[in-house]
Amino acid sequence: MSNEKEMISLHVDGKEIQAPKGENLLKLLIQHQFKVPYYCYHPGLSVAGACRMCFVEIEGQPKPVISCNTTIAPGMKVNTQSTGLTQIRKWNLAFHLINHPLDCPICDQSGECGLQEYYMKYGRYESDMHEPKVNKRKVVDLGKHVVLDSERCILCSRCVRFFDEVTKTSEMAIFNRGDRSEIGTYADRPLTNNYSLCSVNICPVGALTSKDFRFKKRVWFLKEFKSICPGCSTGCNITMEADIREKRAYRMLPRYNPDINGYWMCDYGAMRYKQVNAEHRLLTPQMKQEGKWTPIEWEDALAFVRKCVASQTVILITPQFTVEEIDHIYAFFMKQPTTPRIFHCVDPQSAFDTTITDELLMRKDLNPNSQGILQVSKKHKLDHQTLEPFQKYIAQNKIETLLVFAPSDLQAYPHFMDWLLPAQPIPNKIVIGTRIELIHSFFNLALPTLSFAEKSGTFINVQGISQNIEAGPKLVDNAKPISEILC
Amino acid sequence: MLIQRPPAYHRWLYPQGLFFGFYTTMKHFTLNLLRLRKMPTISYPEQKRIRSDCFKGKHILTKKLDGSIRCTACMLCQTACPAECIKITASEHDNPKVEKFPISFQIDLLRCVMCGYCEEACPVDAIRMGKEYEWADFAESNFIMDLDHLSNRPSLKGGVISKLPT
Repeated sequence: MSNEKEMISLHVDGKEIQAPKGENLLKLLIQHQFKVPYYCYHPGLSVAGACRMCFVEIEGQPKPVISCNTTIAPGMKVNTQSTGLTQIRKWNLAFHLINHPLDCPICDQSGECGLQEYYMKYGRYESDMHEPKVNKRKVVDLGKHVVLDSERCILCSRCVRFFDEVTKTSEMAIFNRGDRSEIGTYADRPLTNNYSLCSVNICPVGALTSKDFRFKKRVWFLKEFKSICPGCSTGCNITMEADIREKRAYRMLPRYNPDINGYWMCDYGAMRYKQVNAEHRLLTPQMKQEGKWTPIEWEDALAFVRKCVASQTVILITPQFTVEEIDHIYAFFMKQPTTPRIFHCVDPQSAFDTTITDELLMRKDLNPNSQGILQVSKKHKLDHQTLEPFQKYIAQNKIETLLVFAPSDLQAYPHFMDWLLPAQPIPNKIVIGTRIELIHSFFNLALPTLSFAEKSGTFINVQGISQNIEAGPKLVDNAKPISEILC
Repeated sequence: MLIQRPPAYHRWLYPQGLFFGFYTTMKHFTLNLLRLRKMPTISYPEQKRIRSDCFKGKHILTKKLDGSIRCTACMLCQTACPAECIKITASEHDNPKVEKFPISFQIDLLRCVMCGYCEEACPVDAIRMGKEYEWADFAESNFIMDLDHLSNRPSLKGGVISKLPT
């Protein structure tokens, strides 16, 4: 018995479409980019039929039907655009806007708001309501990441269904009845699950806003880059949003990938964008001279590195670099005349650990590329050289240079500096990384390199899927890629 | 190389040109001296020209009736600005009805092209182009106007209050 579903054909706006049997009509229309407005439908959630925006006409049926609650049938003839449907959408929108405040200028959602978009497309009417708008609560604090404005809510119930069906924590609900209906948590309890920002992302209006992104930037200033979350070994697909003019990353949003993260990502991951901004970054090469850190020129720094690498060198790599970079590091040091010792700090046990530590996606290993480093080191037959042999080696042998490729996410390695303690007597200690914390009394030279948002490359996740990251704008001018530092 | 040209006797007629030239100059000089016709020249800076209401001068941030700043930090002026001279930092207001307000609002007058798009883009009548045009100064940094200068500079005499409903 094959898993392939039987394909059936139907006509939409006179165009023939092949689709698997039992497919949702609206999902199909969105897939083929027909312009059908919708608020409450989300492909990752169940069907609610609450917003009544996705009406289409089906030939043979007496009235228009909502496409989100329709299953496709063979020979179906669907019409998505007609004067009747435009009227339905227009006056439906009027109902949605009865109590919706017109505060688009201060609403964070404006620019990516469904209500705003369809109003410009279908609405454009003067309000016919004589009654004043119902006032509801504004700026309700819902935990660490979310702020609720229940006036703006159009009761699509996406967030309610998300917490019911995806995280299964059922924290949100619709309270009261009629025009007093409000979303919220019971007694305004904070959202404690690790996926509260997903509810902000799926909110079609500005009712749920992210505390972190709130009022920081209007969305039309941001540019998107396809990337991979560096927060853990799951490797969720994300879009990184950054302001190019300001050279600053502002947020990370989940990107659909059915094999890895679906439509979601965790709050821990969504906050990982902060580490790439200039205030957390090492901005220039710095050298410790007479106990004081002073900025130096790249030429002097590279000359120092070249001199040091020629002597007896030990290298430690953390799995927060891309496969290409790690491969470059291994290839570069393997062809050096004095056989250097290359170690990596991946614990193979946790690198293959696929158990999920929170509600949905997060894994124990907080590195994006543990599998990548294992594969590359295996290629160079050095995969057995992990952290313990490293500590043993530096304690027993006399070494002149230690080269550390430091993690950009220090959450993954809270005890990173403790590991290096046995290396204290080594005269030349060079660190290559992104974080400002690397200007540490332990090292002699700190070199800035690119963060995950600024370089293209590959991360291999815990399932062994290799995924590409796209290079965004350079956020720190003076940082150099690994391939230019080691050349 | 010396080129022999034919003699040009008409050159000797120059006093005629001289006379007509000086005649024109002296005519305008006398007429203007005796103010026998209306000249647009004014003796600036003692005397100043009256500007029309749509003159686009130095920006003003208006205030609400209670005296607080009217701007909601929607960044529409910043979006519309072709010279990219406006920089706003928004912040959370204590009053949930107000919600958002600018904690800093900077206009770089040297970048500004006085187009007035900010005034047009503003949905709440918070930014206006005023009538001031005398802002010569010595340092570049003095041309970056902050929130206080835009709304409360001495020449505004306590600020401009917009009476439109909020």
